[in-house]
Amino acid sequence: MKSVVKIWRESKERYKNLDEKGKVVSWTKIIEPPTGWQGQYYVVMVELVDKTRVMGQLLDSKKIKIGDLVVGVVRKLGEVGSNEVIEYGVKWKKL
Amino acid sequence: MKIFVKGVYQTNFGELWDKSLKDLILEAGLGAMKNAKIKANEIDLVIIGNKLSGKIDGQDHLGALAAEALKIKKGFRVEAACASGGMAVYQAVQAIKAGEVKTVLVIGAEKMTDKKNGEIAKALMGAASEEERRSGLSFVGLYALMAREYMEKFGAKKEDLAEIAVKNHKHASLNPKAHFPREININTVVSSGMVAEPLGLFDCSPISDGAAAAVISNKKGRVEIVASEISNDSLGLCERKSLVELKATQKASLRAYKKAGIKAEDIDIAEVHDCFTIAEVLAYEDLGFCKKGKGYKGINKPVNLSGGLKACGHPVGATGVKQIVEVVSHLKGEAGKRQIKKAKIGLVHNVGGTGGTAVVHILKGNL
Repeated sequence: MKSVVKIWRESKERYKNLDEKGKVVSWTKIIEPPTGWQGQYYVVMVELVDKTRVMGQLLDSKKIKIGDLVVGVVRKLGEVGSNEVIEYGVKWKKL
Repeated sequence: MKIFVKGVYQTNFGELWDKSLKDLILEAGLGAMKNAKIKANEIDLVIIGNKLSGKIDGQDHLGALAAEALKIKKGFRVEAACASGGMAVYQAVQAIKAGEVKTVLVIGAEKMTDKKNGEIAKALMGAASEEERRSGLSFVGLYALMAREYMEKFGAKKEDLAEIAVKNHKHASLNPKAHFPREININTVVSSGMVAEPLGLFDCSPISDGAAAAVISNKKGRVEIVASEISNDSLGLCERKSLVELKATQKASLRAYKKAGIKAEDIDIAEVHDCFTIAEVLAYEDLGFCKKGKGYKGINKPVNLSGGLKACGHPVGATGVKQIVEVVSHLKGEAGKRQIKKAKIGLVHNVGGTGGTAVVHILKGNL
């Protein structure tokens, strides 16, 4: 079970890339996810304008390539059971 | 002070449904002691390398478990992700150099197949960064990000990476203790189902059970450990400038070559950390066996004669010790069907995470 306190403690860090723009430096499509995640999804490594690199999931894109521009948006992360806290964070959307 | 490997042993690697972690620890420990012709009361310390037991079996206290089972006075456990085995060997060397002990039994052991693949994938992500876990990545996914950049930058194709898996399966076909002792062809690799694009099932090392052990001592033996080095890098990939090199491997190997007074080209055989096909390509380059960006074309050196992690199997805590076992067997001329002639100097390369830890050992035989 996810800790409410931990999610609260991390919330500032968690949204710091909201509305940030950057370009994709590498990507993968996860077909076999670890427990706690469902279905297939894209994960991108994004380089922001200040050259910082961050990691996150990409929203429903069928075509992605290195160099594509993306922006950070708020979305639900992962899958939760009925007793768990719903976890939100930043995912990346193609521009 | 000179330090030697006195004896080695590897259990079968694979889906060993009838063996518990304790069974594996006992078999490997007793096997190495027998091979070294040494008794438990002559061993000062047992060090065990293991990554997942606490998470997947609820048992953390493996030093006490191994010491009791093998009737050895002292014992503790070492964890450094998939380099736990190599780190245990490094710790043994350090303990002997410190002068506190003379003879150490090192065991690497892991029991993985009691759990489902998704649970193992989640447990292994304990070796990654928080940001990487939160992104839903797996270890295949992390190496897929590295493979993607490598392919884009140097023009390597899936078929080039597949050659690594084909080669390692060929080697494993001569190793009766391998998880997959059989050959495969390129087509099997490139047409296998994707796990995390661009890496398919046959680009990946399997989930295995197994253990390996070595008796290490300052008493003279036929194989000397001439260098034992570790290095670290950032836990996560985002903190690195490049995804196509493992700085920890580069630093640890440079120091090891210097200590041993040799160059990369002097290495006769090597066991490198091929958790995924791309990882062996990067290892060739970072260990200095070829130039950066050329590794995917293959090298002219016998590497991963055990079958590597890919085909011998990858019980994560056992791997780093198994690599030592393999190289020692060749240096002593006891490697059976896969024996390499005139092998005098061997290198062992063990990686934790995506290169957050690297351990490099250089061994010299005096046949």
